[in-house]
Amino acid sequence: MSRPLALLLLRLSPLLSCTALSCTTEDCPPGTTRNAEGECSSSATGGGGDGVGDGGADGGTGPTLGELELGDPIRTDGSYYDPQALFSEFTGAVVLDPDHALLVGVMGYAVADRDDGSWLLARQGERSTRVDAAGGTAWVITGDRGFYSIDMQDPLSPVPGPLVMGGSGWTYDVAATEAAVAIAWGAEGTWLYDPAAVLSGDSAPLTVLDGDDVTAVDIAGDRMAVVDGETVQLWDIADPAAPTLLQQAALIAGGHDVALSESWLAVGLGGSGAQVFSWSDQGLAASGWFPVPGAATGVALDGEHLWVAAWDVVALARLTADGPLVLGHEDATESAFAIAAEGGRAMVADWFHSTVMRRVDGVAGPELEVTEALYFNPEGESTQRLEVRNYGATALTFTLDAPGGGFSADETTVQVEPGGVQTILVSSDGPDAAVVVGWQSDDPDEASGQVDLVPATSTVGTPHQEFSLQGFSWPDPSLSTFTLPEGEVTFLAYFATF
Amino acid sequence: MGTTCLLDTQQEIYRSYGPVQGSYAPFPLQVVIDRDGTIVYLSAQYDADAVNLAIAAALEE
Repeated sequence: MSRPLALLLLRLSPLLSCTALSCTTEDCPPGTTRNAEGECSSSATGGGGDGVGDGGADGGTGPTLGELELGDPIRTDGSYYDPQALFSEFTGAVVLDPDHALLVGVMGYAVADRDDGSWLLARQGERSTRVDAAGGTAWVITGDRGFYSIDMQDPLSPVPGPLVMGGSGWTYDVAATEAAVAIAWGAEGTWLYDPAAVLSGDSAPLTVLDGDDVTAVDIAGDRMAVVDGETVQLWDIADPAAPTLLQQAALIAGGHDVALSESWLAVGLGGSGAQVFSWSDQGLAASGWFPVPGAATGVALDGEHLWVAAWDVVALARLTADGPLVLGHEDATESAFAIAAEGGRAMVADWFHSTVMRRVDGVAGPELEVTEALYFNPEGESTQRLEVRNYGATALTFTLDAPGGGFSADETTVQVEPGGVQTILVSSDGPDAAVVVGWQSDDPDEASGQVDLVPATSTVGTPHQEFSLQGFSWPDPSLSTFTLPEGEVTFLAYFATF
Repeated sequence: MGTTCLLDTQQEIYRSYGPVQGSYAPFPLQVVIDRDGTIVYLSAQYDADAVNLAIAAALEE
């Protein structure tokens, strides 16, 4: 596969850097406070308590841990991969019934067993990016070729329907009930269809709601949630042909996915974590926000629990009147792009894998995220930061073995509060060889591990190689030759076209 | 601030980097280079806060 590479080069000034990169504002997002390191951390992770079952006794304002015991709140029941299947690259999933889930990917779809993720059938077909289902029909969007239905009355005998072309741009999300199908059609707004009419060949929308950048949609009963840029809207769609906007609220970043239940609304905010609202006939009420490692591209509500697919992990939070309480994380097998959950079990669209995770009730704990490798300048003295983060519900204890081998650390044991980060400074005066250093923690599912201390080649701490590449500089579209600028701070962001 | 789009068609720059911590996918790949031309941030994960901190630190030097 040809993968032409491109990269964005940003030369930055102090005045504009944050605005240009949509970085955090001076004020922390709702439900968070700025910690001693100057970072926003969730105040909705146990109220700053230091142990399981303390009930937030220190007077914190976040949700309490109640009777939770120390443990791993998510278990992986299975993760399936077929090396012969080239079509997966799953980015969407939906629960069909207690036994079956449907996953969609770049060149088709698969029906998976909800117990272990194994595929019961797989079909090559249209590029399929997101899916929802209702009344025995799955509704699938394709990106640039509209959407289509799949008759799933018998999950083992699916019958795909024809493509329906509505808007001309990119489709981002789909939501369905037996009364309405909604498509998030980017700059072309939100398109609402009568599913029965579409299935009978009438592809005209019931209505199109204006929007600037509609990227996510979900429906619960006669309510519909729509993410338009950095705003989430709640609509009454009792009459899908004439929806009524009930309320809208600001998000702390652009939304990638939205989930709506009878009382909760949750938005995946990519690299900015997940934001939660409660809702009623009185409207939307901000509940809280929490960060995740990676990028929150998929969210699913399951009763009072919120699952978040965040590429390298899946996060599970319990939703309470005092805000979301992050119970823990589970590593994805590959990359968790989307998630569907029901009855305490989640099906993860895990890139080439279909992964089943199960909620373990009554337990929570710390959730460790630690740097896996540090790179040192082989030519001289250098110091790197080993960052130890705690995304979980209770305080974390992390102990690094003494490095040795020409490396040293300013401390070896750190305590990290929920939502916090601690840094261990690791130094070397010019390493000749890599050293592997072990660590231990009280995270139930990451009790031990290792960090690699590596003499760098071309990485952090070493000079970036000079380059001379063709490109263009906005707004001039003509090609020129560019080199690495001297004396300026530079940001390179690589991406590819396929 | 200037924004430039470059074509690394032979991947000569992309492939010049050493192991990237936390790498689980080929993209995104993000690099921050300070005024001296030294790489101060290299990541294959999308972490806006970390990028912003690295840029802010480089700008303050």
